[in-house]
Amino acid sequence: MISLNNVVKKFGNTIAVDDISFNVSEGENMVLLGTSGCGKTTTLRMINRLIEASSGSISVAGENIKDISPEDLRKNIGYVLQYNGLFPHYTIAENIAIVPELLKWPKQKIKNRTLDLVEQLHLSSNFLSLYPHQLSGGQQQRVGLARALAADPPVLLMDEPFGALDAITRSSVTKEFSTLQALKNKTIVLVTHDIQEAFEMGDTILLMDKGKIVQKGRPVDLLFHPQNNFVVDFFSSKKMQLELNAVLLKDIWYGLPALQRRVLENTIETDENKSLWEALEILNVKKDTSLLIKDSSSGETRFAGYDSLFAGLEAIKQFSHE
Amino acid sequence: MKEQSGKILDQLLQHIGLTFISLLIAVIIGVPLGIFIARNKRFSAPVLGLTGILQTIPSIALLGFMIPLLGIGPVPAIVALFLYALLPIVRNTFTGITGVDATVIESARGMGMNSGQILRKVELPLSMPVILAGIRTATVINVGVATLASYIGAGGLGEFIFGGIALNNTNMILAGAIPAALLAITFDFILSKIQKMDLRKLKSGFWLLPVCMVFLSSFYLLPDFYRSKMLAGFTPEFMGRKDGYLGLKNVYKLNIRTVVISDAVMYKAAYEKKLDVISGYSTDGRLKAFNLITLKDDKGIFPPYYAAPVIRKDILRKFPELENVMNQLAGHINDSIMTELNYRVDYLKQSPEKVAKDFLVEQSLYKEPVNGNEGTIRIGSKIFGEQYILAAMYSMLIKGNSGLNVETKTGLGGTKICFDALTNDQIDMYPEYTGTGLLVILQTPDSIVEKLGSNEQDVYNYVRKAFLEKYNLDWLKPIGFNNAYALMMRKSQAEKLGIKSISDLRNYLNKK
Repeated sequence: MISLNNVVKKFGNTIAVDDISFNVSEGENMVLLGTSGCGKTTTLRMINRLIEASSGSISVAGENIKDISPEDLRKNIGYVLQYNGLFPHYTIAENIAIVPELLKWPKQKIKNRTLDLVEQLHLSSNFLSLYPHQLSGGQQQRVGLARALAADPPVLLMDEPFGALDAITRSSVTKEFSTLQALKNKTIVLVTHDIQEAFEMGDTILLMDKGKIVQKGRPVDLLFHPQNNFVVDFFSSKKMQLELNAVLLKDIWYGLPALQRRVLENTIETDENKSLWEALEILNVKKDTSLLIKDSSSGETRFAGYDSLFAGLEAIKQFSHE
Repeated sequence: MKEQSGKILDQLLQHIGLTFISLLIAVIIGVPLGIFIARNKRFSAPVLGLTGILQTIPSIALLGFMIPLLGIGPVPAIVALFLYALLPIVRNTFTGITGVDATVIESARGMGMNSGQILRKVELPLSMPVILAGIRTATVINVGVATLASYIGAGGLGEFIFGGIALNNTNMILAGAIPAALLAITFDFILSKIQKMDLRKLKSGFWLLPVCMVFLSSFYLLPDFYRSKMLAGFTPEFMGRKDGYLGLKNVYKLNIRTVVISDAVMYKAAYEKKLDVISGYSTDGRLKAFNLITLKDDKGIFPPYYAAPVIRKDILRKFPELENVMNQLAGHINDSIMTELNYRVDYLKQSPEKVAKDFLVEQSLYKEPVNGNEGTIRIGSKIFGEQYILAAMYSMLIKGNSGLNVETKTGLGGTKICFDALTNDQIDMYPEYTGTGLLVILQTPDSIVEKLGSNEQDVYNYVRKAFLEKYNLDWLKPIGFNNAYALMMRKSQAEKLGIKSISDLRNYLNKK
């Protein structure tokens, strides 16, 4: 869906993006991860030509982005910013309607689409006649997302979309994000420096440093098969938490007991796609609980408690070092 | 009083018109200019610098600059006001637009808006409060500076203000100043209300503002609707004097459209056909320079203004030889000679001392200074060429014919200052005019003035007697010319229309 080939960006004598190439498949969520100044935001903004590449080519949906006008390109790409950039002098409804109006949609269509999005993003329709300053930060960010999705673009670019939110709001919004129906079929490129966020939201992570791609892969690949010391060091803090988040129950399936160890009062059912972290959170709800994990396709069941979960993790780690 | 209230309305409308025409032009040019430098920041420093410099030029100087380029009247006034209004408008537009939240602009770009759409939908609406603040500032400045427009005959409330200053009439000053202040306050208030208006609602009513401005600009033309055939320009002082404009209206029943204009520009303006009739002094050198003639005062409203030195009696007693020395000049200068001498000073730019000496030499009156030390005579003079010439002549006569020394204190601004200096023993003598003595210094009641009429000898005798009694001042022999107020016209126009006197003028104007 999106393809970057040998893209370079220079600002004067500084090389911000140094010959990077990658592809994003349709429907994939790709996260550009790195510290400040690694070139991730510059890369993102070259995709919708807010910044023009110094050399190399970029194509979206098979078309070279230089072949159409920047305005037409951007009307077909949703763009969400860190500080949302909502028009302060437009109501929420008017804000959401911006791109559809640029595309000259009929009024009724715009109205229906707005109501639809507001519902999908869990905003009250009462907000539509309000102005951005009357909403909380979290609500504003949802509106920003609704606005980006209004014309139903196939591609969504997000630049640190949750960076301006407080930690509590951020964690709940991030969780919600992964479940939103509206985003299910979109190709998303998201920029962040927050590892937690990257792991929760991304199918693929592109770890960048000094304008180059250091490693590309799924979260588990970066954690358990780091390609160099930079990658190792990058994930060294809060490593346990990351690992528990990255490893899913299905990854440790074959190490889990098929029978319950003890007959306990409480068993909570769950599926194999949860991460170990989520599994621990469920166990934490009540004392003396164990998990009954049901495979969604085969119907097989396994059991898990604290011990088996950590044992499974250790096994994965050992396996990766061989 | 009734006619004055009509005048105030005229001036008010002209004032509003001047302010808003220039404001409108300033907005039409200034806002796009501000947008341009916001887009092309490298021009911002020079453009803002230039408009800033324009603002620092004192308003009167700016108006003065305009005159040789654009003449007199509303055009140079509007241009000057426009230049003045530019800085607040350009700067505020620039500040407003560059101050729009960069994130909002980026999101607008990211959504696919082009520059024009961003300008119309984002930048202008969001910077409107700041731009309006600039327009507000410009309006208040313009209302103030527009009072100076009357200096170059563009009308406005300044007419009363300057007239009041010239005639020392506080009521007249206030009659002009208070409406001007109220105008500034009112417009500022209205614009502040507009500024605070929800700019969302402003979107629809936005066209209202330019329409209002155009409407207010048209006010300037309203007083023109009862035009007369000719245009007269009078100094503020002339406007308020009984032996000036008021006499023209009451005695001659003269009905002519007037503008108030400063003495400095009016002669040239008449020459350049921007004015048809002006007030002036009958021995002004510029009469010759600009080919003007004086109209005969057939009904005699301008009293005689025979020039003669006024001198302290105690000085005459102390140095009795002075009287004969000074009277040497008596009868040597008539109207046309004085006009010629004034012409040399005012127009040929020769120094008064040179002109005085050349004349004395030519009249065989000049004697080399004796350089005696028997005492010092202090001669004063007012601030115009003729006075400087006369003071120089007397100075040379005294120095050449007696052992006395002379100190000149020239350029005393106005009759009152000169006269006060004389009575306070700061000067010993100065050249005065009988008419001025009669009307301005003695403030003789109307009944006596009318009785004296335009008989020069009667007026001279009367003022001489009164000055001796009241102030212990004596009038020496008249020099021989009459520097009276007069109406003047271009020689060519007067000859073409067969106008020789003020009555002729009135008859011409009243013809349908």
